[in-house]
Amino acid sequence: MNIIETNKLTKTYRRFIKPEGLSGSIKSLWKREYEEKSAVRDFDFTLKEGEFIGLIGPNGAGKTTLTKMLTGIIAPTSGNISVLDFYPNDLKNEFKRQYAVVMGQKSQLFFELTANDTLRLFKEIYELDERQFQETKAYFTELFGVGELMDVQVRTLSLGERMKMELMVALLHNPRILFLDEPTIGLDAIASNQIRKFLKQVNREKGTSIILTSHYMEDIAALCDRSVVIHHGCKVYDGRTDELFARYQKNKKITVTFSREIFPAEGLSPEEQLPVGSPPERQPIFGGQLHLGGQSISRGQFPLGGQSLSGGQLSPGGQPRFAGQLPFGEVLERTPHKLVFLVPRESASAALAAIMPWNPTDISVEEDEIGTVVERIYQEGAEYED
Amino acid sequence: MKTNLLSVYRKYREVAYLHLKAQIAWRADVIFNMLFTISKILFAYLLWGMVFRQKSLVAGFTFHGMLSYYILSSFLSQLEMSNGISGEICARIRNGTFTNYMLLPLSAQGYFIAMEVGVVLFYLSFDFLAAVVWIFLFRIRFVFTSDPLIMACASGMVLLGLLFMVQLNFYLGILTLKYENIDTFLMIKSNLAALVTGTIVPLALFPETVVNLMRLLPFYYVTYLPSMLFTGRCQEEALPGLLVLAGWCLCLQLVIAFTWKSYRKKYDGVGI
Repeated sequence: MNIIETNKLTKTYRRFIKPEGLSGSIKSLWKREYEEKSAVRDFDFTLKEGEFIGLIGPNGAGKTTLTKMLTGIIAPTSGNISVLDFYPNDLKNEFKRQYAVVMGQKSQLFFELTANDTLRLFKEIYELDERQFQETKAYFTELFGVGELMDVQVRTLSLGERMKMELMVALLHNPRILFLDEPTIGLDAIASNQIRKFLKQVNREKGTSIILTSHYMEDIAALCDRSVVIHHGCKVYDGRTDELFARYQKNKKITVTFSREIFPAEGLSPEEQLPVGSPPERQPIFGGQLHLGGQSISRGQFPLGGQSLSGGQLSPGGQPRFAGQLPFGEVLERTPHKLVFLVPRESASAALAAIMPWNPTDISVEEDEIGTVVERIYQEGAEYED
Repeated sequence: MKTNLLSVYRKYREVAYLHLKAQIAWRADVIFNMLFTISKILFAYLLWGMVFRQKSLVAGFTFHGMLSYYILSSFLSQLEMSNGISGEICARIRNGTFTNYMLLPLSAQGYFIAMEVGVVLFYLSFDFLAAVVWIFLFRIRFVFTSDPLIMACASGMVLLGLLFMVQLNFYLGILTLKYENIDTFLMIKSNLAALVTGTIVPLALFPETVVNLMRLLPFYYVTYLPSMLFTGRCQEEALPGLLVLAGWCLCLQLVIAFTWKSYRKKYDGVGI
């Protein structure tokens, strides 16, 4: 069942344009110019009960405006919107009792008082009976592991502890929808992981639908089955998060470590220091466009491909060593015992197969850095927009 | 969920408690407040003592009558602490945290009234302490009306006066939703209040018609008239005063409801 439905939802702001300088300021006293800016345009969106979705977009994309419309803080300029069968901007108490909002930078806690004091206030505001209040409080106190912090002045808590308290306050009345805006902002890796774990558990155990707005793709990748990408107020992607990442994760970073010195450290020219390609019995393996030391090579064009291990140079100790160009994409790092390179995603398994005959002691494969992926997503969003 | 009156009361009572607790959170604040209140008593006692050494009557007040008026008016003016509300609402609208009140299932105005009650309760305890010190320690023969009707009118006027000031400051605060800056409105309010209460120019210098017109404004009834009523003066103004103030509260509430409904929809909160 859809608990959120929007159809052609649009929000347009009017903003004052002041010409530069003092004269511009004076002119603007009697004649003002305004421009209209669409923060959200023709936005169609649905959310099913129990879903956990991520809202992704660069600054100014319209994520916060969308969230504000969904929670009723602002009214849409046009289009239809229904959240839990209410028109949000009516701000009916019956509606407000069914959702909660946690904004990383807008605390609901009273800093001079304790978390228990704020929880008591929220118990009355949401009209919870004492038994329900104690049960829910006990559940979250245990889940978040904050039992000993409940009677401590909030201002003395760490950022991570404070965020746990924010979540606890927001979830006290068991909302059907939780809107989260940057819940892990400023948190260290451990605290972020804890918050993610709690959110996952709350979504699973309580069935709370969660809309997460975050710039941290780790949050989105770890938590959200579905993602919506917004750019310039338009929806540019709405679908499975893993498919989104699969689409934009274009490369893999492969790190290979050898027990013996396999690359000469000094004395060879840069070309000579690069290892040779795959053994002779293997076919050219790489698809797409590869970049080798600034030179582009298309599928099957491997300058030294087919050169065997025995065809390489021998080290003084009689150990085989590589020479020539690397057909593995872009070399990121190379030491005598280690090679780090980037290959197109679809060629990763073939590259790994090609490297195996050199008997590496360790291989690790990493996805593209999340920041790079985000950049691509936004870039494509901009192109889509154009 | 069915909301009944009891749960509404408990909701706002908890808001008041919370703000009362927040006032007590800092021990230094509590101690300095206590010292400040007590030192004020001492200075006023010495000052009026010197004035009344020369005369037995000043502006129709005896020494004890004047001290009684001073206790009451300073008591009431200290209770009126709603000035901060407009500034707080304005700042919160501008930095985006006002949305916290919009998202909770309660009335934002109700929240601020309850908040004010919490703060007033804190200062009330000090004012009460001050009054007790005045009366017992300095052996003041407290001049207080014995007429129950006047007492009831004055008490009602105090409550309505405090309510009106909260309403006014809430109203000025929510003007930020449209005007983004309310400094001018705040300036007009404080100047008008100062004029009407005689702080800028003594009321005696104005023609009687102007003074009578000023009495149609609510500020006169917030602290001045209740203090006079409690000390047994201006009794003929008790009922009309109560009616004027109640009328202002009612009108302002209608204006607030209309403004809130209309400006809330205009609120964009761009960039926050």
